[in-house]
Formats: sequence, C-alpha cells, structure tokens
Amino acid sequence: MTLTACARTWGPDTYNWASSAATDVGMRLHEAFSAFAAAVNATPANADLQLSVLRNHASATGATSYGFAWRLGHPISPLVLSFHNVSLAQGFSSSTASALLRLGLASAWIDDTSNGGYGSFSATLLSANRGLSHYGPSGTPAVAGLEGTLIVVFDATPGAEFFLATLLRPGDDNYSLNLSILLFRSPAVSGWSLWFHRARAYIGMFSSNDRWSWRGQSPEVVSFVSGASGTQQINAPIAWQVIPLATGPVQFNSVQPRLLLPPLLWTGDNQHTDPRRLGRFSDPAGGGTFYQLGAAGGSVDDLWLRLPSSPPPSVLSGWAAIGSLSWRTLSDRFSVVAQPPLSPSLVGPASVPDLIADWSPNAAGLAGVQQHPLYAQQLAAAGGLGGGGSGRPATGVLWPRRV
Amino acid sequence: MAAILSDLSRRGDQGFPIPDLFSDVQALLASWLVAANAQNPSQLLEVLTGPAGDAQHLGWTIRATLAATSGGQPVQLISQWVATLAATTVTSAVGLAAGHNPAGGLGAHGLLSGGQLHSPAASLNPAEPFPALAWVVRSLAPGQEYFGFCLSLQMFSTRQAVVLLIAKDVTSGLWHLHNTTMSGVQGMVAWNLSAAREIFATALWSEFFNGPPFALRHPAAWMLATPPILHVLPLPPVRRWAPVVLPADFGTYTRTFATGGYFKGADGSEWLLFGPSRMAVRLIDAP
Repeated sequence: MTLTACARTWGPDTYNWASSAATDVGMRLHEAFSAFAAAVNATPANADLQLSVLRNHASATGATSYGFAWRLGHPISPLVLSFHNVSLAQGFSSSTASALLRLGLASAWIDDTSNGGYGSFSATLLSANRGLSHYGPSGTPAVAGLEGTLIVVFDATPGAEFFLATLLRPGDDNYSLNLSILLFRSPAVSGWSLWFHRARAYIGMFSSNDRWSWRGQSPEVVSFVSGASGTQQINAPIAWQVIPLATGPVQFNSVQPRLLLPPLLWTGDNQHTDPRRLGRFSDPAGGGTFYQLGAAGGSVDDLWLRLPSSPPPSVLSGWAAIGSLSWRTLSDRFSVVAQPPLSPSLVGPASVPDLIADWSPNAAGLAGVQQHPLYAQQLAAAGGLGGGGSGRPATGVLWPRRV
Repeated sequence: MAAILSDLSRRGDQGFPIPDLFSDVQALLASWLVAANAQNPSQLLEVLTGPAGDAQHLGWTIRATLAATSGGQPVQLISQWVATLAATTVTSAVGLAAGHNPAGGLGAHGLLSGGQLHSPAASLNPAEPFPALAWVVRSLAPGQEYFGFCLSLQMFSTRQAVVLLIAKDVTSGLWHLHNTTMSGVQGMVAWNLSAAREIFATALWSEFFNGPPFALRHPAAWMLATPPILHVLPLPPVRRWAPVVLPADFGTYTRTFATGGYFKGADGSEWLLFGPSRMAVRLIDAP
C-alpha cells in the first residue's frame, strides 16, 4: 500500500460546501473516502472493520444541510460518524454558524430523512454543535473572493490505515477556518479511532478538539500532551493515552498500550502563525516537507503534516499534489523535536496512597515502615530485622534497626 | 536493568544530618566517577567543589566535559547545588561552564550564571530537626550511566529536591546535568548535537493529567525549552532538536512532592519516586 496525498482547489467564489455537484468539495470528499474505503475493505484482515458510506452530499433532502455519514466497522460495536452543516451562515462560532458532529453506535443510528437527510440517533456517544462557517456563495453574509481547498491524505497499509481530510480556507477573512477529520487504526485498538480537529486564527475560536478511540469494545475519549506553550515547538509521534475510569473498560493498575497516530502527523504549540495562509517549511533534517493544516490556540494543538520527498506520495487521478498549492514558505520560528517511542503506560491506582501499588513514605507513619515495599526489601535482603539493609549507614539510620 | 540503590536516610534529632549525609554521598559519587570516567574516555566528569570543599556552603559544583566541541573547544556543562547554612538557603543552577565565576560567590563553589539559575531560597535549616530521607541511585550500564541523589525532609513542597543527577542523554551519548530547587523547580542542561547548541528544560514530558489516575510514562524525556518567539529578533531559524532522553531506568510518574514514594507497576516493575518533580527510577525490572 502506498501513501496518497493530494488536493483539490476551488477558485474565488466557486468553493461551495452546500452543493451536491460532483465537482464540488462535498462529492470530492466522498470520492476520496470511497477510494480509501475500497482499499481498506479489500484487506482480508479488515473483514470486521469495513467502511461504508451511508450518506454523502447527494443525500441532502433540503437546500441547507450537506455532509456525510460513514459507517465504521467493528467486530462488536460498529459506529456511525455523521457530520453536516446546519446553517448557511458565514459565522465563526457555534452560535453564529454551526455544524453537527455526531458519533454513535450503528445500532443507534436511525436511517431516516431527518436532519436534512442525514438521519438521527436514538443515542450518541458524542454530539457536538460546532461552529463551521459555510463559506459558499449562498452564505450570509456573502463573503467574496476566497479560495477553498480540500486536502486528503490516506494510506491503507494493513494495521496502520488512516484517512485524513482537511478543509482549508486560506483567505484573510475572519470567518475562515481549517477543519480536519482523521480516521485511523492503531495496533492494540479494536476499532477505528477518530480525531476531529478545528483551528482558526480568530481569537476565542479554538474550542473543538474531539478525540475518540477504543479500549476493549467500548469507545473512549482520549487525550495527550503536546509541546510547551509559547515555544513554537512541534512534536511527533503522537501517542494517545486512554484514561481509566471507574465505570469504564480501562482498568486501574494495568499495562495500557499507547495509541499511535499516523507518524506523518505532528502536533505542538504554535500560536503565532495564521492558518488561513498556508504555511510550510522544509524539514531541516532533510527528506521531507512540513505542511500546516491547523494552528494552535486554547486547548487545540497545532496540526502539521510531514510528507516525505522520496518516494513522492501518490495523487488521485484529476487531483493535484499538495506541494503545488500556494503555500507560504516559512524560514524561522519552528523547533522540530521528534520524541522517542513510548513504552506501554503503567496505569496506577485510582487514588493514592493505596498501600499496595503506590506508597508514600508517610502513608502509614512509623507503623507502616516494615510494610513499605522499599524497606521490606531492604530488611529481607539483610536477613530480616536482624540486619539493616544493603548500603544503609551504620549509625543514625532513620528506620527501625535491631542491634 | 535497574538502579543500584543506596538508602542513606537518617534521623534528624541527633544533630543536623546533612553534613554526614553529603559526605556519604560524596564517597559514593567519587567511586562512581572513577568508573564512569574510565568507561567514557572521551568525556570527563569532575567535582570542582564537593561537600568537603566548603563546610559552610554544602553541596556540589560538578563539571562535565563532553565529547562535543563548540568554537573549537570541548563543550563543558556545570551543575551547581549549594546549601548556604548560615542563610539557610539553597542555590541551584545549571548551565555552560563559561558562566562559572570561581570567585563570584557561594564560598569555594563560585557562582554559575548565564544558564538556569535559581536564586537562594529557604530550605536547609540546621536548626530544624528534620529527618532526611535520602537515596542515591546509580548505574554503570554502558550508554545508560547515571548517578543521582535526592532527599526529602518532609512531605511539604518546600523541603524536597534532586540534589544532583548526572546522566547520559541516550540520544546523543553525552552527559547531561539536572537538579531541582527544594521546591521542585527543575533545571536541566544538555548539549544538543542537532542544533549545535545548549538546551535547557524545566519539565519532563508527562501525562496530561496529574492523577488520579496515576500513570508511569517510559522512557523519560525532557520537554525542551526551545526558543520562544515573543520579544525575540531576529526570529530563530527553523531547527531540528534531538530529544534529550534519560537512561532506560527512568520514567515519569504523575505524582509530585512524593519523594521516596514507591510504585509497583502492573508489569512487575517497581519504581522509586526520585525527587519532587515527577521523576521515577526503576529499582526492580519487569520479570
């Protein structure tokens, strides 16, 4: 399997999310996702992880809402991911322009024509009403003269499949935003993981950052850390950590594998670059180029894509290579720090001290000393209480010592 | 692979325990240094001033000469952690040796500036009969060598510190130096081969949550303090920085100010919480 990375660009005033024309952005997204789904579904190991399109832009029953619904296969609990805009406003927040992102069990998805044709859910795992500026000629207010770009990057290599779609409005308008949807597989995770990333330079806009994955058979929200604030540092690989919950499938006192995101994705802190102008820089170490898909701010991380220069990624027929877009080359500011791969996480107790897995020196006072694992070992090494433990001072020791 | 541990903890009601404690640590350090220098002939670790060098300014000024050059000269790093007993304060710093003024203060230690300097802050008071929890951990595994010493006088957040940690940066193979204030503020200096300059850090990469749940992350790597861009002209160029990664015996655990805490991982490994700032050192390997 090979890496595919390509883009479609629409000129000023021709980008239109609210359109089901085969040449507009919505059906181009459908075209790319369908190509990815076909490759994934052809892999024998993915018999239980089949991807299918339930709805696309052509499913719209009205003139307002356009989007998609994808079925994400899973051996036990297949999901439906549904996304569509619910207004044609050119706003910049959930109160001025909105879209509906819903994730639910496939069994909870109701195949009807509600919600503009995109169906309904009897229950959702995630239902987020997010700001999504419509950005088409039919919007309110009309915003003229802006281009629009759809970038898709995918790879169907078994076990490490991913699909990334980014909508970019590289204009100067306050309402423009970058929106990325990532679907990926990671070793040790039973189903498809999801990252919905939205970024925009407008202050106060950064609020959506939804990450979902699996532990066992249940979807879970996940999180991770990124670089220190204000240092313009971007990092990879990204490793998610699923958080144990008292009611969830992730157990305390356990060994939990990390969720690895596609290694070409980088995140970090970068609060000073405007994502509406496409930024890129050559990897100082050579061999690739970084492309900016979204900017940091608030609780949302910067999102970068590093594409190798050799071999060049494949390009879908009729699409353009990503490097051919009108990126603005950046020569300063960024610190690129690759991280060492992480071992599985050792998850401790739910609270401390629990006196079994997590001890504090003062957990049980003097009476607890001989129960403390560290001192118990030292005493045992020296033959019980008659000794004193290896390496301990001969005089003035703090802990009990029988002479 | 696991740390060799020396438990040097002692009671505090039989006189101020710190001088004897530091003297014991120095003895362990001296023998470790001989072996560490012998198996790293292209680098050199030296104690410029140790506890025996100035009884009123107790601590260590340690210099590492690295197998890397800058401007034609070997790169030299210094870590300094000095308790000024008369003032009941501790001064800690890490930085390039060029910033060390042997006559600049702190008695026989001199003063290190130009790097990360933490001004004298209250902390080690001979009049306080605190017991001292104190551990030395060390290893001479090739490429993974380290020597560390941490202490804790109480469980509050003003009496715990990593006094010194000399460790290989396993990415570069060069020594790097770390200490904390008695309030757990971290300092770290390393030489970054990728960027050909020094790099500092004030934090380890850790889990985003502070617990509970608590989790041990491994390996331990520094969150590098790469250059900010606010109020900086010219802007720094786009650069790659190699990660600075601690030897395999180190991890990060989400508890703070729990020096001497002990964590048993579900894989059978066991870890001592080394100092107040999320560092943990492996005492027993997973079977």
